[in-house]
Amino acid sequence: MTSQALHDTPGIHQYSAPSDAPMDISHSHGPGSAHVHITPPLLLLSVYGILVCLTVLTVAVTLIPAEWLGSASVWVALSIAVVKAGFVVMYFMHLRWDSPFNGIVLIISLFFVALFIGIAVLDSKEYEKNFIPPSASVQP
Amino acid sequence: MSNAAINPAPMIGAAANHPPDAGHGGRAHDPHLAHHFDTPEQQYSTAKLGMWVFLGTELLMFGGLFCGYAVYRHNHPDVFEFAHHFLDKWLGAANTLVLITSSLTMAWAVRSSQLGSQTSLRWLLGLTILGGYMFLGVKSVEYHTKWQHHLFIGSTNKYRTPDSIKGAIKEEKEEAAEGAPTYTSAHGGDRKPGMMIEDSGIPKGKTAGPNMVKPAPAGTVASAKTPAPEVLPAGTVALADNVSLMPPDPNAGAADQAKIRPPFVDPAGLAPKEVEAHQAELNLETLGSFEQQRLYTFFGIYFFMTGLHGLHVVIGMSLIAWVLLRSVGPRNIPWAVPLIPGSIGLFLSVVGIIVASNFLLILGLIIAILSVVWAVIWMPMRRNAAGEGEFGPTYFTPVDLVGLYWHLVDLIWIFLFPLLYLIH
Repeated sequence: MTSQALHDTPGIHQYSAPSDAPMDISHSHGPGSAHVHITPPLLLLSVYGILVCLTVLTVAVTLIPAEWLGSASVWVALSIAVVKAGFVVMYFMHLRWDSPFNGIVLIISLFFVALFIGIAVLDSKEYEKNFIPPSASVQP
Repeated sequence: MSNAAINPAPMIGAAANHPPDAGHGGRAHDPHLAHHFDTPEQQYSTAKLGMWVFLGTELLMFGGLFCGYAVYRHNHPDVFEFAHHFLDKWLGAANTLVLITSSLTMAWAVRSSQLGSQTSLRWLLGLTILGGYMFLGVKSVEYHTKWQHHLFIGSTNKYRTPDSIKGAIKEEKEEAAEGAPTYTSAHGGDRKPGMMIEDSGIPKGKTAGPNMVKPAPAGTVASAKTPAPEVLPAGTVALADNVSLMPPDPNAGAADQAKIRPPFVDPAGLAPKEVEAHQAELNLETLGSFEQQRLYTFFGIYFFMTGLHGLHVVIGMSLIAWVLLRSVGPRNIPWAVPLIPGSIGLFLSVVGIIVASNFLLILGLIIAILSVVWAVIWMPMRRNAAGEGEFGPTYFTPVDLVGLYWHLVDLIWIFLFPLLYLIH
C-alpha cells in the first residue's frame, strides 16, 4: 500500500501524521469516529527515563539498613511499584488517551484482586489465634 | 494486502458518515473491516475493549498467586526474610531494566505502525523480541542456580524433608499426649532407611528453637535440616545435597566433625562477598524449627509466580513474532522465515542453561547463528520489496493489542521484582 493510498483512506485519524492527502474525507467526523493519539517520542523516552530511575530507587531503598525502615520497607517498595505501573499503564499502554471504559475495566479487575487478597488475608488472620506453632508450644 | 494492491484507493466507501452497510453494493472497503462493524474506528475500539477485558482476567489469574504470596508472607514473615537471600537482586534488577526497555521498544513500535513507517516497525519489533530473549536468558541463569542447589518446588526441594508437615503435626499431637516434648520421636520416628536424618543427641525435653545452642555431635538435628556435608569438589552438581535421594552417608552421625559443615545454608546464587555479609542471617538455626520446615514453600511460590510470568513472556514473544511476520508482508516472508529456527535455537540454548547441558546450549546457539546468516543472505529480497507491510495508519490493531499484552508482562514483573527479590 503506497503512502498516498494510506492517507486517502478515512480510517483512524491521527494528530501527527504528515497530511499531504486531501483532507475533506479524513476530517469528516461521523458518529464513532475518534482521534487516535500517537505518543510522541519525547514522551516515550521520558517515561522510560522515569521508569529506570524508579527501578534504581527501589533497589537503592534495600541498601538502607533494615532497622531504619522496619516493616515500612515493603510498603515503600510497593508504592514505587504502583507508581511505575501507573506510568506504564497511562503512557505505554496508552490508557490516558483511551476510552474511559477501558480504564474502568482495569479498575474493576484491580478492585476484585484487592478484595480477594484482602479477605483472604483477613481470613487467615482469623484462624491464627487458634493456631499454635509447634516451635512455640515446646518452649520449656 | 492484495485487495489494496488491486484498488489503489479502496476505502472511500467506508467513510464514517456513510450508511452502516458500507462496503457492499459494488463498493470496495477496507479488507480488515469486518462486516458487522460500521467503521474502522468502531472495530478498533471494540477490539481494544476486548483486549482490556482479557487483560483484566489475566490480572485476576495472577491475583490468585499474589494472594497466596500475601497470605503466606503474612503468616511466615521470617521464612521470606530468610529465603530472599537465595535470590540475587542484581539479576532481578537487570531483568527489570530489560523488560522496561523492551516495553519502550514495543510502545515505539505501535507508534511506528500508526505512522506507517515499516522499517522502524520491523526493527523495533525485532528488538522487543530480543529483549524477551535477554529476560529469559537471565531468568534461566537464575533457574540454573536453583537447579544446581536442589531448590525445586514441592517435595524435590532440598529443605522439604519428606514428611516435614506430617512430622510437625505428629510432633504436636505427641506433645499433647505425653506432656513432655520430644524432638527425636517426631523427626526420627518414621524415617525411611537411607535418610540423612538420624536420631539426634539432643536431650529429651529440649527443642531446636531459635535460642538453642547448637549441639556438639555431628549429624544431629542441625544436619537433618541443613544441606548434607559438602564433600564434592567445587563445580560439580551437589547431588549429595538432596536429602531424599541420597544413599546413607557413612559419616552421618559419626564423630567426624571435620567433614561436617556447620549449619550454614548453602547460599545458592549468591556471590561470595554477599555470603560473607549475610553469614549471620543465612544460619538456618535463626529460624524456628517450624519455619525451617516451611522454607521450601517459598520456592514453590517463587517458581509458580516467575514461571507463570515466564510463560507469559514466551507467549508475548510468539505474538510479537507473529506481528513481525505480518509486518514484513507476504513478499518479504523469505527474510522473516529464519526467525522461526532462530527462535527455536535461542529457546534451546535457554533450556540448555537451565539444565546445565552444554550440548543443548551450543546446539541452540549454532541454530541461532545459522538463522542470522540465512536472514542476512535474504536481505536483498527485503530491499526489493520495501514498504509491503500490512500495518499502517488505518490498520494497526494487532500491533497495538500485542503491545498491550507485552506491557502487561512488564506490569506483572514490576510487582514481582520488589515482592520476591527486595524483601528486606
